[in-house]
Parts: sequence; structure tokens; C-alpha cells
Amino acid sequence: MTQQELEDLYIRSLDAPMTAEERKNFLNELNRHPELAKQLAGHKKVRDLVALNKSVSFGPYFASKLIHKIENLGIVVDRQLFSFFKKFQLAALGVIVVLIILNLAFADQISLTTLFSLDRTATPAATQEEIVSFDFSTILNDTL
Amino acid sequence: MVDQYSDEELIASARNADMTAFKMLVERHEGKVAGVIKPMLGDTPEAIDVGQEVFIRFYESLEKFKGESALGTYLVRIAINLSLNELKKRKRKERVFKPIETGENVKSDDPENDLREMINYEINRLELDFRTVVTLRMIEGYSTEETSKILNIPLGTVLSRLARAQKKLRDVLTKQHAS
Repeated sequence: MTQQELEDLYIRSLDAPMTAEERKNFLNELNRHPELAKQLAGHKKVRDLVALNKSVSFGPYFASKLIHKIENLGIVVDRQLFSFFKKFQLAALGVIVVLIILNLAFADQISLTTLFSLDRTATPAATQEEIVSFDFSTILNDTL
Repeated sequence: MVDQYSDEELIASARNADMTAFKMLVERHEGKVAGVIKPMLGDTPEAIDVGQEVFIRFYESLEKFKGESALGTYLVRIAINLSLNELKKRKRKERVFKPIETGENVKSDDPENDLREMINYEINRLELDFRTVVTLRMIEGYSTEETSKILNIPLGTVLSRLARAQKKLRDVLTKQHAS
């Protein structure tokens, strides 16, 4: 095994999975090089010591302070409004669908015109008398 | 009580503006987020600000969180990005970063503790790229593959950075043993 291969194996023994054969070869190399075994033990000790730092926090009441900050930022109100409308969006959609169905079902009796009273507010239709017919061919014949 | 509900259940409640549920999520993941931010920024007020910012961003993007990765990993990613931004900001301001522990003068009755403090000191002195890898792999215990995914760097880069960082830390240990 070359020095480079041994170094690669050494690094992988710490940080990456090894095959059974690689592990066997590496153990053989450790037996042949006691200084390497000592070095590996040193590495593992560093690892254990560093791992002891794991239990950290941001101090007492971090979560409470954070919630207070979020509430003050007004994001919660936005979310409350959003979730309120989200809750009723299905009901609103249902009402719209029902209205459309009703409108179609009573299409003969109810139309958009009667529904919104457009028939009362619209300009009355012109009477028959007021309609002035204009027949161009008659006028042309009379003239000729 | 916090463990009574899964992350998914708490997220669903938090989406409906249930702040108690969100608080439970914060309490559950605070340690993980602090474990990433503190080794990078030190025990400073900025570290707490960044910690708060991580959870505020998460709260704002609750709708977008689809659960493709575990919540812890998602938060750690935000924490890493915000810590890196904070460190760049510090660099821009040309503020000299003083690590929490001044390892040089550490001396107590507990040699194991002294050694740990010296190692902390050395971690804080590592270059940023190395410090990030050491934090995730060695302190937070993510696998090499997970570290590579979180940082979006090749596996080989993670391994080489780890090897160099560990060599430096091991030298401290050797020096301490010699003295």
C-alpha cells in the first residue's frame, strides 16, 4: 500500500464508511505502524472532546422572547387573517356554486335582468310609433 | 409534552397561527440551531440575533416548507447561510473576531476541561470553510454525506477539509500532552 492510499484510508476510517476488506487492510497497517495507531487515537480523542460541546442553547427564555418578537412584527396577524380566509374559502366556493346552479335552474323565471332589477332601471324601449322606417328603394323609386 | 406531537403536526398547527405549536418547534430545535451558530459566531449577542432570524424566516415560510428534508436539516441550512452572511458582514466592517475562549491562558484544576477549551479556541480560529465542516460533522454529528448536501459541496471536499481541520486540532492535543 502506498503512502497516499494509506492516508486516504486513514481519512475514510474517520469520516466515511469502509468495506470489510478495507477495514481489514487498515487494521493490518495500524499493526505495522504503531505511530499511525497513536495518531488515530489522538484524532478520536479530539472528536470526543468536540462532541462534548453539543449541548448548547441560546440561553433561557429564548423561545418566549422569539414568540414575543414575532408577535410584535405583525407576522402573526397576517397569518391569522390568512388562515381565517383559508378556513372559509371552501364555504365561499360552495355558496358561489349553489348560486350558479340556482340561477341555471330558474333560468326562465330569474334572469340577470330581473335579478338585478335592470328591467326597471333600463331606458324604456322605443314604441312602434316612434320607429321611423327608412326604405331607400321606395324613396329612390318615388324620386325617379 | 413537547415530544407528544410530531414536527408535521406542530407545523400544521403553526400554519393556522397557533403560537404554542410554533413555540414547541422552537424549543425542540433550538439546540440544533445553536449548535451550528455558536461555534461559528461565538457566544455573542449576534449569535442570538441570528438564531432568532432563523426561526423568524422559518415562520414566514411555513407555507413553503414541504417537508422534503427533515425540519432540523432545513433549519441548519438556514442557520449556516445566515451565519456565513453575518461573518461576511463582520469581515466587511473589519471587526476583529475574538473567539469566546482565549485558549492560551486556560488553566484550571481539570486538565480535560482545559483541553476542551483549547480545542474550542482552535475551532474558532479555523478558516470559515473548515469551521463549518467541523461544526456540522464533528459537533452536530451529521454524516459526511449529509454535511456535503447541507453545504452543497462535493464529498471529497468535505473529507479533505475535515482531514486538515482535524490535523490542526490534533496538533493542539499533541502540544498539550507535551507540555
